[in-house]
Amino acid sequence: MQAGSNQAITEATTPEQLADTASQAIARADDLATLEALRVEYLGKKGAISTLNRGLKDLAPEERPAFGQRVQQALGQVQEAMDARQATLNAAQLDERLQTETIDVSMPGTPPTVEKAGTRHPLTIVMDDIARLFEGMGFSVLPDSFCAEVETERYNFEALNFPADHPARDMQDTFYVDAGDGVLLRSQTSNAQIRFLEYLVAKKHDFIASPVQVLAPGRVYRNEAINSRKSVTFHQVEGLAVGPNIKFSDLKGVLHEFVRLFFEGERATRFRPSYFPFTEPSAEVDVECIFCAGNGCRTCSQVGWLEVLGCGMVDPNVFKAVDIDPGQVTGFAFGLGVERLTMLRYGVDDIRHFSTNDVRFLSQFTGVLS
Amino acid sequence: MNISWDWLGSLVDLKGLTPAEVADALTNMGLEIDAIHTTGGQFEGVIVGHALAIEPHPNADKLRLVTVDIGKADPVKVVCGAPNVDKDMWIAFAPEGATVLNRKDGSQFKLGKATIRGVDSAGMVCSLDELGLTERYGPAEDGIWKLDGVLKQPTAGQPLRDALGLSSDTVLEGAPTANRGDWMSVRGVAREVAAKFTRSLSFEGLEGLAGPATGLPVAGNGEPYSISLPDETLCRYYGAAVLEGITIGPSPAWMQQRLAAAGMRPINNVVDITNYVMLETGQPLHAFDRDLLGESGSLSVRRAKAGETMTTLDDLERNLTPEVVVIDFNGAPVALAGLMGGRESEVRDTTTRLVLEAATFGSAGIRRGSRQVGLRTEASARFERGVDPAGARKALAMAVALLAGHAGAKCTALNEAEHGAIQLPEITLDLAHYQNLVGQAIDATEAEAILQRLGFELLSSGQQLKVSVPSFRMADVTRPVDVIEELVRVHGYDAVPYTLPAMPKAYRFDDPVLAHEEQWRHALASSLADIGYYGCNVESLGFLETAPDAVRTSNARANQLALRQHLLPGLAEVARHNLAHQPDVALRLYEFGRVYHRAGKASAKYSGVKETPSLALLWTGENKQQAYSHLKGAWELLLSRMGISPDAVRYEPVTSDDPLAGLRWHPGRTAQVKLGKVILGVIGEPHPAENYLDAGVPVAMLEIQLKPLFEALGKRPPLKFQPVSAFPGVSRDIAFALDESIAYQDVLTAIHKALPPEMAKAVQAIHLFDEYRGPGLAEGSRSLAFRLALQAHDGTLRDTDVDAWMADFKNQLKRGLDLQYR
Repeated sequence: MQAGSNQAITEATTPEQLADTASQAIARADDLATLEALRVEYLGKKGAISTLNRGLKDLAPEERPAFGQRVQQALGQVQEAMDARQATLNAAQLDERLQTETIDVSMPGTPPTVEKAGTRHPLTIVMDDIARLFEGMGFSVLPDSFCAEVETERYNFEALNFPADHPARDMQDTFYVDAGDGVLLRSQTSNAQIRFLEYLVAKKHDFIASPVQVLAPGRVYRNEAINSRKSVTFHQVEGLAVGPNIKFSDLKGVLHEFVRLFFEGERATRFRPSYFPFTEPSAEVDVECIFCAGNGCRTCSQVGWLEVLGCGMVDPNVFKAVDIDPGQVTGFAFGLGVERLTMLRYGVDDIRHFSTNDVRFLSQFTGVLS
Repeated sequence: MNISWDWLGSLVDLKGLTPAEVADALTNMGLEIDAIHTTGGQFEGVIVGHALAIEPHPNADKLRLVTVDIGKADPVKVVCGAPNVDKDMWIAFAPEGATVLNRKDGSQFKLGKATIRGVDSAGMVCSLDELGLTERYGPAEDGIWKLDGVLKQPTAGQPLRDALGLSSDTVLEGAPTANRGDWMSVRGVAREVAAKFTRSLSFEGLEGLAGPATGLPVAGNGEPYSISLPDETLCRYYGAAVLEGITIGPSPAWMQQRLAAAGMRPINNVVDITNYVMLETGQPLHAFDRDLLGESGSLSVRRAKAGETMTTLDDLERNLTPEVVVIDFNGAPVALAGLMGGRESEVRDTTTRLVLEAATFGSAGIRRGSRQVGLRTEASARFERGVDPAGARKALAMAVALLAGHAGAKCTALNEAEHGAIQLPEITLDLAHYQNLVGQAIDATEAEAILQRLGFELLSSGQQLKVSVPSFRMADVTRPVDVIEELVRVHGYDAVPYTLPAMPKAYRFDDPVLAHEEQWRHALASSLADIGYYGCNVESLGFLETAPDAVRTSNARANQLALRQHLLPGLAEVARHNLAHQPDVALRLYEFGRVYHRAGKASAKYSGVKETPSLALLWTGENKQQAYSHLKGAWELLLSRMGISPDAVRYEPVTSDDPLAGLRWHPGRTAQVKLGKVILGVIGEPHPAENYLDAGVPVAMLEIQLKPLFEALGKRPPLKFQPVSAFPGVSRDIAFALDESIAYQDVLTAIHKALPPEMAKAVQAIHLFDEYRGPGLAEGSRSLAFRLALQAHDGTLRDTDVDAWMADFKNQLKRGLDLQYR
């Protein structure tokens, strides 16, 4: 080592010594403030490491690389010690915070103080309303357990008379899931028909003496090409009536009455033939456009009608699938699209509002009577 | 399915009917017509003009005056704003009274008299989009449409449509339902129109279009092609017509226009004719180039072998599996049955000889193959729905006739194979059945007429109607109820009256839990609304759940999705959205929703997934507020709404910061909520190291399962009235200091235990009214003050008795708890 050129540094300390001194000081630091002071002392712009680095220019050119490397090593060592200590102190501080913030979780809560009433979600309001209107016509709402969202093909397709390998199965794009072979997310609430009829058959229910009329609201899934914004879940309310003498004209009457009550006024309804595997005959129901009274506007694509639901007479094959003799009873079934009805009733222009749950949207429904 | 009015009119008499009327009728019969459009431009009265001179507009820099020759003695002057109008240019000219499109909104309007900036304009020089011709002649350049080059010999004054050789047609855009293969054909639609309006059909009228029908030769005996159909379910009939002397060229204009109206691009006479026959009859055809296929040999329809490959017309090499049905020629696949032909035997410009295939493939096989290969074609859409089993040979004859007329073809041989004769189903309908199901009687004569017009053959008439189903409806009409549907849809759904069923007995579940859960949910939702909470609807699919019992989609269109296992992560997302838009809002959110876990093995009747109805609450507030306490207060209100005493629910502190309900929690401010021995869920504040909401506001959350709660409510004995005491009550306070590690709920339990039996009967309520820490108390201890309300049913309580009880009680309590009375 040549005297003179690196005198300033040897006078102070070598990088190794510096690193050792620093590491010891860091290990002794018992709070974050002390550690921060040490960071400035050693790693700051005017800190000890920087001073060593500045001395580099005083060295002979051939010595610089080796010495520079030693400084870098020291820097690394100090930084590592600093980070480790910081983590320890942070953890300790967090522990202490968790400790001091600990409360008696069993203490009685603060009774709610209310500035403004909240509300049920608009979809719930509409589903509840649908239930109330149909309850007035003798329907009962089925409990959750009849309305599985994850289903087998039997309940979503087979018992509902969807032929295997038939394009009818494409009418709703269905999500399959990895819970088992043929397990899927129901594409319609109609599985509840089968679940409920099976339950009644097992209980030897007498449909002749006691016709049934039930509703099954719930969530359904459609496997659509989605992006982060588009919804793949929707809500439907399924209706089912089974008895010795249920007729297509009854279906028309019940749904017409529902439309009158739901949209609060006499409105023309139009029943159009359609195809659903589980009903025969099948119909789609249009309601006279509520925005233009049937004159044609943008919402109804100028046709004056709004499509609101699908329905029909229970197909004999559905009865057979649950061991009911289709010669003894008839029935009707319908499926209401809740999002669609909600949008129509309140003029909601974008379906995404329903899943975004912005309180500026939700709070608009506070005053709704239902 | 686009239906050309012109084409439809060639098959059924449409005299006096408008497209709108027919569209309405079809919609009311179940073939929904979504829209009606016209082809050949959307204009009337536009003519060819010739710009003779251009001069500036006296009052506007950007407008010019164009002198236009419109084939009359005197040219006219119009104002034009287009930058590209030039002298000697041929233009599309709309005189006053012509109809064109508004460029801004695409609506049609009729040109009136116009004066633009003080100068009279005799009409308008049109751009492509004002004529509705952009699709056909576009893309449109800026400004007006230049006809130079478009018209070979322009003549001023000639109607534009004539000059362009455009015919105008109206197209009904139909959406056939999945059960009606016959609606995938113009003939099928024509049949419906004929049935509805009682019109005559003319299906055999190829004369004039195709030239004289040549008919098919008698089927040959395995020469040049022997055909075998080993599996009837894959293919019932296969016919191959051999044609010679083809000259490939354009198909006739009328055919091209009908194809274009139907949405198919004209290609050449052979391809166009096979498409034309498919669109009209619903029977897909396929043409092989005979020179490329092979002079003779054996054709069969079979499943592909695993590992077999074939290159289709679209130049893609397809890897085949036994799910795919192929046409086999001498041992190798040459076409994907009902989907697409092979590249190697494709018809090209040099083709002179054809093997033309018409086959009745089974719908299931085609559908499975289509899904397997990931290919859907016009042909597969028809086979999947089911084609007329008797239609293949007729379609072959029609195609052969058209090819003779328009491609110079001569049919030299026909080879066929078929599985048995078609058995037309016979159905007997009791008209009383109709009345019972529909709620309205139908006249036997009318029923018979409707069915006959739809192509059914009447076997016996009267109340017991017996019909045989036509071959083209065999797939979807198999039972009396299907015949009822035919009758009611043609007779008209509108004609069915509105009635109401007899009011049934309301269905009640014996199980009180099932009977009441919906009402309980409703009651809780009302309570939550009353205390300012908003109900949320969070997507149940999408969260990336990684737990081994998570349920994930296996066929999502884009990314794999999972069903949520907890409600709170989603509700936290809702909170984050709201705080991002309104940082100062105090959120009160809840959701009733399900969470999903795999449990057990799936079977035909069980999905292998447990769906757990749950409730989540989320509260945010201002700084320094005790989030936990506020949320617990809301939860306790719900408990009280359910008539559950707050003392019946215990809060067990969590011992680690392991995630619960999908989130990390503050171990000192989080508790598991227990009802009896059942863990309902969790309540608490988020772990300070995890700021879920990116907001520096206090947050508290709760997620509980509803089932155990509703079960507890269901098992509760029915409410029974308790007499109300007629005597005044008294109250006593006690206060004591004790170590603060002793939880309030344990203190309360100790209090209940320490009450002397007589006194316990009189205690109406025990209420904590003060908690104190600070001067006067040891470090780590707190003082709790309770008020006991007492009342007896049999008389006024005497102070001396109560004092004695209290002394007894306080002694007893001190034995149970390490406390100092204050």
